[in-house]
Amino acid sequence: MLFYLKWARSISLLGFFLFWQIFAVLIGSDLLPSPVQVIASMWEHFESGELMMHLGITLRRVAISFVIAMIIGVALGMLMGSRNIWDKFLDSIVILALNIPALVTIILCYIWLGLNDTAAILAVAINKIPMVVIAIREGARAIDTRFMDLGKVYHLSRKELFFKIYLPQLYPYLFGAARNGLALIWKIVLVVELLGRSDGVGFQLGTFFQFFDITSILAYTFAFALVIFAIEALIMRPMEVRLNRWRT
Amino acid sequence: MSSLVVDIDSKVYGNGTCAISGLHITAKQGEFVAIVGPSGTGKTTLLNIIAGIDKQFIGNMKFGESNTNKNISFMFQDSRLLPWLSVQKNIEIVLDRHDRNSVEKQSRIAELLQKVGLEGIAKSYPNQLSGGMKRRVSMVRAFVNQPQLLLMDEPFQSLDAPTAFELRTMLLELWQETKCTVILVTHSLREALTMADRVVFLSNCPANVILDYDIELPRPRQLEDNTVTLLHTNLLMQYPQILSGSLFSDSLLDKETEQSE
Repeated sequence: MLFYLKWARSISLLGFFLFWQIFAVLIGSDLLPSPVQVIASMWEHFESGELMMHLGITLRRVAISFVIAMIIGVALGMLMGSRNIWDKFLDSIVILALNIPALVTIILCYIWLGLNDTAAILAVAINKIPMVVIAIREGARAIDTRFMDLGKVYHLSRKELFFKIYLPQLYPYLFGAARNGLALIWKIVLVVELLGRSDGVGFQLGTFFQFFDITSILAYTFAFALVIFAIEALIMRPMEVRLNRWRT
Repeated sequence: MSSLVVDIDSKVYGNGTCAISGLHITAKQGEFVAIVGPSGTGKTTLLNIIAGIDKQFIGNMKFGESNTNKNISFMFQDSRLLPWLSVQKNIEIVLDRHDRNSVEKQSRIAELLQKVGLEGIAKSYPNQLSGGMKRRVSMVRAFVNQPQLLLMDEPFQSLDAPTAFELRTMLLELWQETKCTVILVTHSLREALTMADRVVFLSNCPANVILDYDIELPRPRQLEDNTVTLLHTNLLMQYPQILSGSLFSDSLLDKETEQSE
């Protein structure tokens, strides 16, 4: 039983690829390459060096806009969750920003700032910030003031009050925002690259689309999925386990 | 002499109800004062004011020479341990950041944990402990910084009798060792009479002092001692309504309900 639980993630993935392979072989169409073909293509792109270059550029954009969106979103979320006046003041703007289509922000950023990386990163961050704000605001509203009182009685410094008492209560919300954030930002970055950059995975996908090169499109997707799995396994999950060990 | 002087002219809640009005309490250095009063009369609010958590009141609060005294400890109704910190870290957090890791402080923590019978759990998290153990940890936390003033808000509530007995005994030992001033809020007159040097009775809301009673029984006392029982009965005979916040009886019939406390 434990064995199955441990390998459940891998087994479901394996089953998916197996099904894909059989299905692709059965229909034998150029429109659906098999996973074996996709991996072979990924290897080619990797060997030529071009995959790593574009992937690297995209990841850099993802990382920068992620950090910007998290910093601004967390700060605003905490402010709005703990100060009623700021909440009222900023609420309608957050709702508005939340509902502006990503495409509109991207186009406007490119028009106003030019077709450059600053515009690209800014467009992505603007799309993500309101979502972080909403998530963190919930967390800040749920802060248990009894623990803050404890800190005040014992004259904890502001720094300790924040890092030892306030922030730990926000961790679950921060993790939620980070997980969703990474997934969403990656998707938007590709659109941004497709529309106005001449490098990155999004740009490459656009090129492959023009040639109907489905195998390469899937190869790039596959490569990125591997990166996401690595981030999840090497950073997110260990951090979550470490921060949640008290919940036993 | 670090005596405590509390003068609250008025404390009004945000919704406009008056919690405390014209209340005056003092405590000498090393004195153990119990505060007894009907529920909802603002006892917790009073402690919050003394602790410096609540600053929205009209009046004066003075403890010792300076107005900003760092060595105040607070034992809450709940044990109020931070669930994300280990027992050790929960205790350390109240110490001054710079000498948390000093040999002296570390051995003081170990010694206190041993004294309350909790050796070997320093690395555990609060969620892994029983209710009684959590209270003991919070007692260690309260004493680790050598407080000059210890505030307690019904710290033995909702514990089974043997555990509460143990904790009271430990508390009295630690109090006699550290000679700190103690303000204990309780709804149990018997507990107050067993533990304290003096009992202060509060009125109904808005709270003020209706009776300041010195307990002259010798120590050590137990909850079940005949002398305590006698004093308890006598007090309630004399002031049948005292636990409902009034010195004078409306009707003698009420005496029955008071005594079934």
